[in-house]
Amino acid sequence: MNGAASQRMDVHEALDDLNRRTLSAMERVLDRMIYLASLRDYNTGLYHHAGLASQFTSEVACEAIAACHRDVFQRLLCLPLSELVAQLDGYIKSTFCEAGIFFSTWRKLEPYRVAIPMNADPVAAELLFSNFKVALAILEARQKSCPVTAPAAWPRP
Amino acid sequence: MVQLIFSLLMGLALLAALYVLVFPSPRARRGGEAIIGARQALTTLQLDLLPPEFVSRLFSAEDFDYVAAASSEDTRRLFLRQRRKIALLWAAQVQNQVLNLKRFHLGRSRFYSRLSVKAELSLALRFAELTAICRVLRIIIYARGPHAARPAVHAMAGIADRVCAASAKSLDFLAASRADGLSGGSAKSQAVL
Repeated sequence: MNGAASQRMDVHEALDDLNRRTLSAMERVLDRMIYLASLRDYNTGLYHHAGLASQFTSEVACEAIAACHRDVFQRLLCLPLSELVAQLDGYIKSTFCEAGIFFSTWRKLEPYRVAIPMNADPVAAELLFSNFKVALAILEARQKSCPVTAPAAWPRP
Repeated sequence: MVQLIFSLLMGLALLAALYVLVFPSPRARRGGEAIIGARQALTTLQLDLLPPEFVSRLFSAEDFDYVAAASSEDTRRLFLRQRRKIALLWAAQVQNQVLNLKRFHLGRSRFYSRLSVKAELSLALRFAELTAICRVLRIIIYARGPHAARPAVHAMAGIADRVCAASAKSLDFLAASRADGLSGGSAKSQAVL
């Protein structure tokens, strides 16, 4: 077997490992995309994962994560808007951040812009960004119409 | 002495052959660039712009109905503005890539492949049809919004698929004939579309 074929098999195994051990614990596609983007070095664009790199090699780990990131991006892009709104709502709740602060931060920083794969098609990327903007607007309007107030104090343990 | 001259001549001939291999003629280089450009246009169309799931998401009636039912007037306006902007961007990108393919067919492919007159006419008609539909589509999206453009989008995607298939066949043939040419084989066979 030549080197390229062997590397392809390693990438396939690493991808399977990543899906089985790490990503299967995250139900939402949105969480997966944010997690995978967080593995990327913003200066080099390369992905780092110590566990995968020790089991395979840094190059194989990087290639497997990049492939996974592209796949997750496509899946998120093809979600109906209603499903993206539900995923974003679940994500906000999982951060334990006050919803008002979350909306204001996401509107200003637009962190979803750095969460997509590097070579994503510009039109596809714009569609996803626009869906995020609309989903945020829908959730914000919903929150304003029936605000969920935080408890004044945490219950006594 | 004769042997020395013979060796020098052989060396010069080898150097010349190496030069030709490393620095191809400008025409061959332009031909290679045109094929690469056409291949990129085809890949962008087939993988990024025209996959049915992407097109149906962009022009989705489901999203439109969801926003119409579940949100305020401001959000509805935001959604329509955003989708119109992206639909126009998409239509412009499709038109650009189709024009790239058309330019390649007009300028380069005939140097390498001899298409039948019928195939050339059919391809030219499809390119003309596709370019016209792209223009009409942009006007509809601009004037009436992306949700009103769905029938035209489906018609355009169908024709674009056929043009892409024809271009892919032509490009496969050209890649093979260029490889034949580089390896010294004959590239006189005929491409049938």
